[in-house]
Amino acid sequence: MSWLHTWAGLVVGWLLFAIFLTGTACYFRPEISAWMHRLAPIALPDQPTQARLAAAWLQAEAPDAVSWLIDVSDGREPVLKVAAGRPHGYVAQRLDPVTGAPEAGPETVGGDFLFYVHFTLIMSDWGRIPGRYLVGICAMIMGVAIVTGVIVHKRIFKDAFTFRPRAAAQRAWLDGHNLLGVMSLPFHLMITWSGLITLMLLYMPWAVDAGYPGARAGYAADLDGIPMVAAPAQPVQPAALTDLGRVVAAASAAWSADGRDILVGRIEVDRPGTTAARLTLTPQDADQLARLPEALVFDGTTGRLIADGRGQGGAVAAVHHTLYGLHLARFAGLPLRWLFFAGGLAGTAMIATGLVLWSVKRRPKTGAGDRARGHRLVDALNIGCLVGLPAAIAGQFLANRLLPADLGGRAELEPAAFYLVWLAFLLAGAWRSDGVGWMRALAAAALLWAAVPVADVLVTGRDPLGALAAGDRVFWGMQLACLVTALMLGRLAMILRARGRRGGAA
Amino acid sequence: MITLVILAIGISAATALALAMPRHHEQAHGRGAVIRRQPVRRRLEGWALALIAAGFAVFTDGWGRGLVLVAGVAGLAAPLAAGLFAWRPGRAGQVVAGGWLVGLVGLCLLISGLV
Repeated sequence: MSWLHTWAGLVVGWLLFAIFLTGTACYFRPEISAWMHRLAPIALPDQPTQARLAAAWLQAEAPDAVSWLIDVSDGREPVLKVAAGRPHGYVAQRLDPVTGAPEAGPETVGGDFLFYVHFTLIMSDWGRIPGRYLVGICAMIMGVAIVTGVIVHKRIFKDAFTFRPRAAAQRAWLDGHNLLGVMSLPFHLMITWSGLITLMLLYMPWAVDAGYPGARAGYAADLDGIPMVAAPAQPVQPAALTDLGRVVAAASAAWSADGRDILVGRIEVDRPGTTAARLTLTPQDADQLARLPEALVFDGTTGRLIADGRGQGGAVAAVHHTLYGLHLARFAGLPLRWLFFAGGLAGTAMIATGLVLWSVKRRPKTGAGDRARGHRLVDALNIGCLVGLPAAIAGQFLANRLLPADLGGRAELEPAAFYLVWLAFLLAGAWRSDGVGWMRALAAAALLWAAVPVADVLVTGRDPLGALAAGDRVFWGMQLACLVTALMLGRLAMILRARGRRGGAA
Repeated sequence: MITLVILAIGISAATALALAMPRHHEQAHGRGAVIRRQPVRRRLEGWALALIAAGFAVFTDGWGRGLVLVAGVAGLAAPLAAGLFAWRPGRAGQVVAGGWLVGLVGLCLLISGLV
């Protein structure tokens, strides 16, 4: 069992580290997006107004579309996202929620890059499906590693609070690994399992395909509690779309009937501008644990309610939606979201300590020069990933601030910066993977993180004290997060330097 | 705000549970300190504090979100308590006492309807 835990963890450990790290960052994806798009906090107009602005833009730009998608701002990221699907292509745009005009800031990939890296590892079209399979395989092996880890670590309760940082290296790393693994075990189990659930139709589609021989649409209808509609029999005629603002207000009132205050999250418009137009409104998932199927369907020309998905899904659908909701944690308010963030960091650190432990356990007594080739490879990858990935995220943030605002293809250059920094750290690890290599890599990563808040202030020219007075949470959150990360990495580098002087190793 | 209260009580609950174990009792009070009745008392104290924290969470956030909050606080409190024993073991007793104080303050806040 111990053998299985060690080798299962080692083989996919670096990918798991990347998945956990980017996933943890994604709990603040709207905030990261707002920071990268340089959005200042504003007083949002009410939702009916936002919906009317979005409809006006779509009507002008994509009247021939088959479907529209409108994401009304939830307040975390002050932006109105619209998209239109045409027979010959797809157009998406971010609108200013106050004016309804396209967003003015420099082109950027926003928080979406980290989000896609989290479950595809690659942000390119050709790599998305293989990436998803790879992430799924990693998640299954993570499940194996968690279960075997609990069995291997028999003394869970006896060692519940044991941490001996001053003991021998192997003992200290093992304590840290156990502590992080055991105490956040509910989180690790939940996040691994629910992560597989989010993509279960890709990994194991057979049951659903057997149960719904017609098409996936029937499954989706059962999951969401909204009956399928047949395509309109009579030929559709052009017809004006009803006032979206009124429909949004009606939906919001229907959801809030039991005293909760629930806002609209997404508006889907099928066949806009025809007599067969249909509006599907789903609530914001900020208020509930489960992403419950509570969709309301309205007729697109009359604005009449034609289907009510509330309370329609069964127990199985509720379980699915609860697990899905737990994984995304969009229901969580700010304090709970920070706890999820801490849980994610604990998982990331557990993987990192496990990988370091593998190397520390096998270190030859005669010094780092006598390591076997495989051992050197593990050390090199440890530096390249455990230090390189956090540094790569800083590199992406730095690219966002330092690239000229009017540069063409800017949104592709930010991910390029991420991969280049990662590659640089992988090469640095391959070049020198002993204690000195660790120390230099950590110091470089700390400098990169420290440069982010400086570049932020210099480039955007924002007055930090003014931002504090204006209550700009995103600005201060990013500044503090970057500084704390830089300090922690720098502290680790200093500890390693002191140890190196005393003649010891990591 | 109430989340910080719950976290503080959770940390002292974990500290009390740790103090009930001979190894950590030694860390806090030195080798050979009197441990008469200490394990049972500390264990009861720890579970009582944990129940109070869970009660706060469920009362303010409901069963769904409250239980998620409890799991999150437990995952954070235990490593913090372990860190306390690693670097400042002498403070353990004070942390436990502080937990009761924070619990009392939290109760007053709840009753007065401030949170």
